[in-house]
Amino acid sequence: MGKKKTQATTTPIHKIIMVGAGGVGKSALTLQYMYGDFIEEYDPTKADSYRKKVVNDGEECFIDILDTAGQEEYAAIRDNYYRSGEGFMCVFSITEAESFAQSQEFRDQICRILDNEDIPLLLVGNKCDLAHLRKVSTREAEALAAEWNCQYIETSAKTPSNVNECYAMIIRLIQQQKQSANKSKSTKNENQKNCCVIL
Amino acid sequence: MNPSSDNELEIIKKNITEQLFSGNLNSQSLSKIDQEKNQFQDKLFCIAEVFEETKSNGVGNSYMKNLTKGSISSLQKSSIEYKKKYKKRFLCLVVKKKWKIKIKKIKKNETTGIYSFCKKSWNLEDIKSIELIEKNPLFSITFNSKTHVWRCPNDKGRNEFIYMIVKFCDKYMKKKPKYFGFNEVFLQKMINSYKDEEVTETTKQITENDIDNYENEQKLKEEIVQVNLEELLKDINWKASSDATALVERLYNELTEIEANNVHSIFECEEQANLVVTQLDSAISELDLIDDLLSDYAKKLNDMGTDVKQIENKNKNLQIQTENQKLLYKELSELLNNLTIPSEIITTLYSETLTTDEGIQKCEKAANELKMKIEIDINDDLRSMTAVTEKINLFHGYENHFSNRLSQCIIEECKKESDNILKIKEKSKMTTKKSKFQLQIFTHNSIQDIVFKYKKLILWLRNVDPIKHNELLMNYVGIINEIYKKEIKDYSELLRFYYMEKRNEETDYVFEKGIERLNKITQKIQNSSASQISMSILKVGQDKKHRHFMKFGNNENSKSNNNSSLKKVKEESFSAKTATSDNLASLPDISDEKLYPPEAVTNTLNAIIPLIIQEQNFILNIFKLNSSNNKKSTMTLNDDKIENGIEKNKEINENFDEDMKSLDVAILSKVHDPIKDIKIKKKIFDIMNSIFENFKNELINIVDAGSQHDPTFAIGMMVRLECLLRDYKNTDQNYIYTIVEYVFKHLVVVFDSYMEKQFKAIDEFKNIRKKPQGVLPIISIFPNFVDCLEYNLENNDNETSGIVTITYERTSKKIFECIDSYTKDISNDNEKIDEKDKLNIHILIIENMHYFNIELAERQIKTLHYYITEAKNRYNHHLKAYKKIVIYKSFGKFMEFFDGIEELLSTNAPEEIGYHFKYSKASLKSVLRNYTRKDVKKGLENLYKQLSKHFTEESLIPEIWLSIQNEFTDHIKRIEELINKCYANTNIKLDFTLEELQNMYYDIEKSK
Repeated sequence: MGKKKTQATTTPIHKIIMVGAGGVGKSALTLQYMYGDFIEEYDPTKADSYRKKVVNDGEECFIDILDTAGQEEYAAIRDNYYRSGEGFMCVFSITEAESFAQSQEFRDQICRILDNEDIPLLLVGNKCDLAHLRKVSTREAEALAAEWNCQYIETSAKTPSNVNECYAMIIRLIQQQKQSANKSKSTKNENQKNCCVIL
Repeated sequence: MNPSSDNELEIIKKNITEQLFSGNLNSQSLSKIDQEKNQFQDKLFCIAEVFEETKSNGVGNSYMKNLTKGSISSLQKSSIEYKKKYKKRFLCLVVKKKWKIKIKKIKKNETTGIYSFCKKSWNLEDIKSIELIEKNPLFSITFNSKTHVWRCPNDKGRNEFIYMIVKFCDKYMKKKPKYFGFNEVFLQKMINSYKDEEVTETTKQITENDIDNYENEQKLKEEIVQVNLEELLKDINWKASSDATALVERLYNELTEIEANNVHSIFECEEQANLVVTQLDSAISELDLIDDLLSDYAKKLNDMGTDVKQIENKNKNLQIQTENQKLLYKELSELLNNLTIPSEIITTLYSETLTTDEGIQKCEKAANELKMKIEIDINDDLRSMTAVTEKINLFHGYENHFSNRLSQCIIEECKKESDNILKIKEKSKMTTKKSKFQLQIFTHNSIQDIVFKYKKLILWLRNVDPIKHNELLMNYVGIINEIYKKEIKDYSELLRFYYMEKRNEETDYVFEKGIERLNKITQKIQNSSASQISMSILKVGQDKKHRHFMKFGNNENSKSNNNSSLKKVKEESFSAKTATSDNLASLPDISDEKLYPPEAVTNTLNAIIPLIIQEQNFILNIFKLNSSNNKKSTMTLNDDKIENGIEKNKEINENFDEDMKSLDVAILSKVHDPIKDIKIKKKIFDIMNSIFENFKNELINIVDAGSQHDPTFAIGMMVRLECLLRDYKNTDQNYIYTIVEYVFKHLVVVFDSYMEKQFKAIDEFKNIRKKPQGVLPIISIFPNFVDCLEYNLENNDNETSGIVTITYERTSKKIFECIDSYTKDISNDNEKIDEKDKLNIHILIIENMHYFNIELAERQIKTLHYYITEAKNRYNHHLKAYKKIVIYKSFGKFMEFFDGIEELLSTNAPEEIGYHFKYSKASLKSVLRNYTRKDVKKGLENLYKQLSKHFTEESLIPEIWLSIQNEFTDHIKRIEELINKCYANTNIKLDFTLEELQNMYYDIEKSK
């Protein structure tokens, strides 16, 4: 028992939040990643949280995935959820141009709430198995990703291609962010010290 | 100085005309004829009696000056003066030759009464303006800038005169004089009015005048036409061809112009008019002034008006503003109302203890209130207000703080409880020591009680912060996992080490053991006789079989009251122990209660599965994994007004309470329909998996322990598991199903591998070449094996029975293969194997097949029917062979002789047999002589002896003996028939009859 406790406290927890328009497959991606199963039925999510222990780059960690509601009617409650996020997966469906257009709003909202432009964020084009219905070209999406200064990845929760990869990517981004944050914190403290001296 | 009356005037006029214009009337004075000649054509048109000022202009001027001053007093003065100084004169209008009109003044000498012309006369053309002054009977005529004023007491005369002048002016003057104080129309009217008054006279005069006028005008016209027309036409540039109407118009225009000019000139030349004009001017200027003033006032008024308007507007705006502000105030105060949280709520959220029920209730209320405040229905515009967002952020801060506090508190409470539980367990372990291990798992999770207290808050947390909610759930899972892990492990260990029966008491159904035993036996063979040993084995086997069935019955009892029968009947195990002490491993002496492994598995599952179900239902209910409906209702709730919201909230909570009012085990243990939502299914599976982390492994451990020593228990366990699988197949207990299924498959594998070993053992059996005797172990074991499996199978007719059936088939096949390997030797290498061995094999097969047949036939297993008949066939086949061998051994020559005859009969007729040397009468006789009654009896006795020597199975001997009897009798019958047939005439017969033969059998049997 003791063992487990200490483990729980020491293993880092990364909080990922899935955002994106309704019906693009956020839950499908999450469930595919969590349970390795593809779910065809569509049942709009309000908010679901998952936890999984993973080994990413040889480091054991917990990841908390918050699967949020894409529907507009839940927009008001999103704010509060976003606050706790450390990494975001902005999902859109390559078969639905509107969902791609909405990505911008989601990102804006995230940046606004966290007041930060460089949060770990991944632009995910889901449903890439439906290539024949494609409405958003890879180039467009990559251009948007470049504009956001983030990476773009195309996934399919069904096949499942790139599902584990995209989560691995976001975890890596979060880890990097945390490390650099620690560094900057320490340097900040130093700076503050200096300031004090000057004063 | 009175003016003359009309009549007088008329007389005067007559006189004047007579005296001055005699031409018209009778000329009275000759002296004036010459003059008159000159004036012959002169004509008097009109005459007016006027009074003239004596001193020409002086008084007039002063009068005029007085007039302009407008002072009445001076006017009155002057009027007095003026009366005195006026002279009476007559003004007349005279038309002269060539239409020259003159105005002449005539004076009357009062004394003589003669009228004479004054010196002064004026041309009509010289008239510039005429002024009529109504009040005083004055009139003035301006001739070329000189104004003459006359007073005319007679209105009518004056008017007539002026009218005439005006008429003439109009007619003959290019430029019309100005008229002041009257106009033509006015004059006309005046004249007419006079005419009305004095119709007769005036009309007379006028007609007279008119006639004159007419005559004059006729002349005039002629002249004008002659003189002016051409000029005129030239002047106006008119040509006959051009438009007449244009000309008319032009002429008309010109005429009106001329007329206007005339009028102008009339006015202009009038001094008074000028005065009036100047006065008018001044009046106009004054009016202008007034106008200016008025416009000024108007402007000012306008300004004032606009000001008023502005003020009104302002007022309106102000009103609107105040209205707006009122509304704003209302809105804001409402908003503020909505957004203010009583401080006690915050303090409750921050510091109210969460360990007492009261505190929890308070917190529930506060949390709900907070949630409502946060999710209040404000429109987006309001929501975007910084103040509002800040406030809401603040609320979120409270919310986060409280949710942190809540989850920490719950986790701590749970940890405390779990530590408690573990401690108690430890203690109880210590106190009870090893004296009494109770195979019990704790039946109720007291942590559930603790979590249950917080269920509303947990629901709140779920809506507020799913991440924390999930974290809390995970923590709960972690905590209870520890407990369950320990519990299940303890249970499993206890069960495995102390309670689990190691094996069935008998071991004879294990083929491997059979081989071992066989090896032992073969070793023993050297020392003691083989038959004895095999007999002993059989005996032991049979003993055990009985016990085995006893146990069967017993177990059925225990199964019927499954829940209570945790213990097995003591006597049973006691007897088993004593009976098979040599075979059983020495058990630890702590417990003498043993569990039959399938029973153990059932018990384990019965103990743990309810816990799993409870836990799953608990989590589903308390942590609301499946509450998508509730979620929605709480969402919609926020759209309603607050008061309604609270009520609704209560309602929902009440509804919820009905669902889970208390932690009732019965409700918790309910098994529901499958969860349709795959997401939840997956999640709950995941959660259950992490709660009962080691359940699968421990269950497999138990199962392994159960089947370790005796894998046939696997079948029993499979049966039990299968029951469970059936029970939970279409329920929400997916986790249980999956685990049990897994274990089931594991058991299948275990059993399969066990069977593989058995088959190997059977195969190995083939290779043992050490003259097997008696019932082979594989055969003797098989029925036991079947019994054992059937017992374990417990009337199951599903997958397990399928497995068992297959096992039976495979086993029987193997056994037959094994047996066939023996018989192969006989059928193939006839010559190499000596008679004795052959006989032995026959005996072996007969014995084994008989055993197989009998043992299995009574068990009535369908799948084995084929093998049973197969065994019967083999048995018959080998029995036949055996009988032949045995009979021919004792009665070889006898039989061979007749066999030879039979062979001959197939080619020769019966009568010919006797002619063959070999089968002559003599040889027949000699054969018969050798097999007399005595010989036969002796032979049969030997045969019987051999029989009991060959067969170890005593029950088999009579059967075989009978069969041999029949066979032999058949032979004898055949021989008799042959003798009768072939040697019909010889009267040679057998030494014994069939009855005697029967007696012989009987005797032999008896003697034994």
